[in-house]
Amino acid sequence: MTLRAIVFVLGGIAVAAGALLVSGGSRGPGIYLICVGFTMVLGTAFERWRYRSAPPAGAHWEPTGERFEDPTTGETLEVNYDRTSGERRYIRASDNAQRS
Amino acid sequence: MTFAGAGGPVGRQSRGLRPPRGILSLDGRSAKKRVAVMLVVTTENVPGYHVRDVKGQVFGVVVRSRGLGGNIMAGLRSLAGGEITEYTQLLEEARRHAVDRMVKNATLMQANAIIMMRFDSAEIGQTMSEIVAYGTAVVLERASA
Repeated sequence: MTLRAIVFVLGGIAVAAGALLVSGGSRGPGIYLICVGFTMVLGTAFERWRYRSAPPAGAHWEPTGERFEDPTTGETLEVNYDRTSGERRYIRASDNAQRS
Repeated sequence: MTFAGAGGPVGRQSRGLRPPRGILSLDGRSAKKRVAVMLVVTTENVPGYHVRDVKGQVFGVVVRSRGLGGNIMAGLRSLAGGEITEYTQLLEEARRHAVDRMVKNATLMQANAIIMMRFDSAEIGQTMSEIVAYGTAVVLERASA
């Protein structure tokens, strides 16, 4: 089970526990737990951490020779550059090899 | 040494963003001439090239943060120790974002290289990370033999 799944489960448990408390008559602590649980679940589900540059229309991507290993996926990435707009993009080296 | 940019012709020259020609690509895959590159190096000099024009300082700055879920996961992971991959991801994304902005700014200045590139970092509000990539935008030209 990934850590992300654990956070989801903890959030779900908090919501369920809060619902039980509310049904048992403890409205204040129950609502508090429900809010915390929902915040955990929604904050994990809709987290935006991945950076992606917006590629311009009609970009002419050129390989730069810059390569590095993505610490998240372990894949080798290559950097392409569009000299008209100055944008860079990151693509998997395996994908780039297939194209060329 | 990292570098970005080499290759063939590109349209939309009328926007004035195209770096000057006559510069040799350093990636070894391109022809000997006319290739404009955006070379990013941490050194002051590039062997085989000389600085024809200094465009000025160039930078890329970004402040990024993990979301609530990422921070919770990082907090749980720190209980056991080891690499906190959530924050490794955060800094890697911030690095790319800052370098991309710096390169774009250098392109706008019609430079074809950034020399003396450096990173600086700071923390804002405990969960936000600021990364600044900066250097000197220049026009490099192949030194005559």
